[in-house]
Amino acid sequence: MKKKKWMSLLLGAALLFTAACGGGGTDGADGQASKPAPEQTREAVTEDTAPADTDAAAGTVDASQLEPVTLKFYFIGEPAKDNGLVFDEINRLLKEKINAEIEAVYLSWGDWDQRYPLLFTSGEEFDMIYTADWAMYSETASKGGFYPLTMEMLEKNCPLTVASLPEVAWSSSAINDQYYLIPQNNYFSNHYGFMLRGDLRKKYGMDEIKTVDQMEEFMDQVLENEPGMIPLDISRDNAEMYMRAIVVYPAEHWYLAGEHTGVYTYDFTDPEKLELTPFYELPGYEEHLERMVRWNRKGFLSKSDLTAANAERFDAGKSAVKICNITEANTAWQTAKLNHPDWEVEYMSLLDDKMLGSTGYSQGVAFNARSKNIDRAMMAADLLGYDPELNFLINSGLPGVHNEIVGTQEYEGKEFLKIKGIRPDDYGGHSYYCFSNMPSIPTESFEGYTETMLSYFFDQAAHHPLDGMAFLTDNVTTEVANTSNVLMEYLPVMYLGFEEDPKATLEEFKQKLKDAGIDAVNAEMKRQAQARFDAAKSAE
Amino acid sequence: MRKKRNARRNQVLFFMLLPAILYFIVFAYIPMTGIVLAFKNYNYVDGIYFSPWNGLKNFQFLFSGGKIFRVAWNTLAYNAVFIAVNQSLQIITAVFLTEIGSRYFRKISQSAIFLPYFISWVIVGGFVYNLFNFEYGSVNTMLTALGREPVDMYSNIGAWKYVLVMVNAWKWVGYGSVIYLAAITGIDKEIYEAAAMEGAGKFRQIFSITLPLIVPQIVTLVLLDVGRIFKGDFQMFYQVTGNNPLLYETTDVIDTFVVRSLLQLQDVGMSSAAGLMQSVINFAILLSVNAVVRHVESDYALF
Repeated sequence: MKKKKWMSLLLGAALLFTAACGGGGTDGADGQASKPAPEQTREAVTEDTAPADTDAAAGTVDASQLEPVTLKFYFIGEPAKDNGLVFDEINRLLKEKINAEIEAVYLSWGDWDQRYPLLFTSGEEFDMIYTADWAMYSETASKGGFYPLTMEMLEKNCPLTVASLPEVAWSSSAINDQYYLIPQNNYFSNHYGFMLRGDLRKKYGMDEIKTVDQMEEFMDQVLENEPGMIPLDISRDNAEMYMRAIVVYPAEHWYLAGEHTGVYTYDFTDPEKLELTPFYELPGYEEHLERMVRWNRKGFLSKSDLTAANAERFDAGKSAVKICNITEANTAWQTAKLNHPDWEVEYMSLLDDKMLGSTGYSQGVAFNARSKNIDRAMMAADLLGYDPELNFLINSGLPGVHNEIVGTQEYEGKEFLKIKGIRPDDYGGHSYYCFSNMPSIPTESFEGYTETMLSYFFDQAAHHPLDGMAFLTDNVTTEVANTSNVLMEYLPVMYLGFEEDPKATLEEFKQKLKDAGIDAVNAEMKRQAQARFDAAKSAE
Repeated sequence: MRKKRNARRNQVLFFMLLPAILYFIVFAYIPMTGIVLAFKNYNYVDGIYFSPWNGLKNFQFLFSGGKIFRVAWNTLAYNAVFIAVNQSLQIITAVFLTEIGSRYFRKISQSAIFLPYFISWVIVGGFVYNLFNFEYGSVNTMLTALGREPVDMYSNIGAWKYVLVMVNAWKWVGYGSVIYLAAITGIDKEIYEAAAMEGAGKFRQIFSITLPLIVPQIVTLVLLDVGRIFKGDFQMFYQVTGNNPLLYETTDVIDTFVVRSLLQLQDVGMSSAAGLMQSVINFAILLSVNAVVRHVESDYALF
């Protein structure tokens, strides 16, 4: 009997243990209580590391007076095989300049979204981390995970960055009026086009493809003439991008607060105007749903694409059309040149006479609120972003080994590096793009690449106060949870055309969204958008 | 007085128990205080214990969407079927394995049946996708080779109930049968010899000796499974179905539903609320089933 009692006690304990571990990421007691408040640590550290008598501006710092430190930097992605070599070289330079070294750590694409918040809950010691609107920026900042930066700190530690970025880069990336981010100097304009197999197009005697209807004819031909090929390279994860490419961008709209939150898009063409439209009310949306059902029934995609997160058929030679941005089209062209010289990758643009919106200053480097080396970490970020030698290393790898500068090219008063790839695939794979401040020009690419790219990024680019807005969900968490659930259940099905009746499914989808509380989410988004818009207007 | 003497006499035993007690205090009872998260608006600065209270707000999303009943029913029904199918297969496997004469053949088949336990659900998801892929999958390649029409499993909502039950059994039968195998090995050989002398055949021996003697183990294992009945195996439901939205009707369980709802929000308070609700219901179900067992046959109950 006694034994049994112990058994029951142990069992009870075990059960409750499972209870404690219940929610994702709640296990492991947080040592917070015993730690000094970040506020105090911060002051103490600042005094320690920043010598008061030197001009602390990066580049003029006397490295020998600084304590040697190692900065732990979290990137997202998988490192390529030479990343270690490149960081050795980066560290050699950083050691000279600010007596610091970077230890790069990588969160793999497979589980970065689970590990990222855990870095902050577990009290992990690190200094720098990649972040973006799609990579936990507002979530982490609003929960106090990032180190709050002041303009004094920025001016002291990051003079090159402050000199290069426009004022709006800081104001638009602030959360609750507080800076947490050193944004990348964003030149990228949102767009998508399609890459297609020019060799097949010529084989069928077709002219250059310029519209979605012509693309459909092309895919009809592929289906008929190329047994074993599935014309379209689409999957559950990129189906939304096809909708965006065909509906949202040509309508000159962009998602308010990114593609993952809520349903609002805004018209970015006029910075004086605030106009919000749910994406499903944009012109051509219903037509797109019908198109996808038609394409699905014709066999342009696989019946299993709703299950596959990533199809990768184009690269394998099994598809003839794939969504891409212009940089990806260039990469695909470069790869095909090496592996499939007969392919003739072409880029089709639907946006030749359109304005292109911007994600704003929504990605960059942030710092751990518990970092003990905040000043040095900021200096390192500054140098990686704007010191020409370091910036080339972090973006393109070792000169002469991975990529090589062969010259410069002028475009409308700006100077761009012309870069020749040697072994470009051996470096990268991680989110180094927070330091990518200028596009570079390849020595060779498909016809019109450089012109289209520069036109997209500089001539067609539009800017609006709502670019890169972070949506704070605190007031509507329940509604956001319920509406995201509806979005995730319906959108992949509709964007891949698996539904019986697109009209009826669209109506059902709208009704389900309403039941889930989309009106409350919309009202809150509208309120925050209005506040941001008014603040930008009054600052002018 | 007697208690004291008892304690002194069993000093060594209590000492041996100490590591286990410490283990549960450190890894179970202290982390358990984290339950407060379910009622907090968590932020990184204040941490688990000092973040502001939030009342029952974290629980709201579970009930306001109207889907909780579908997913709760799926979770319960799947787990009930898993318990029935897995336990029966495990017992049958254990019985058959003990009856196999050749020692080598027994060892080899036991290892083969055990192997799936080590294969992660991600890999199993890959297997299943390669079996059922409409264009290139093994099943359809075979069907077309035989001159039959290919089947589109990913739009066949009803079929997945059976697939999931089969895959789950495939994964767990080997692992579970080991426990029964141990129980059967522990049965006194003399009983079988006596029965054989009386002229009982193999099947009579199985039904009249083996099965009745392992009933306590069966009841214990079933009760332990019942204690998890309200928790879906997230990895299995997510990976095996490839998170295909067309199949949610029959494959969505509480855990996949919660992950989908909170993927954008990353709110630990809300996910703790969901976990706490599941654990409390599990605990209640376990207590009541155990009470029933105790009422019927008090020696078989867990406590």
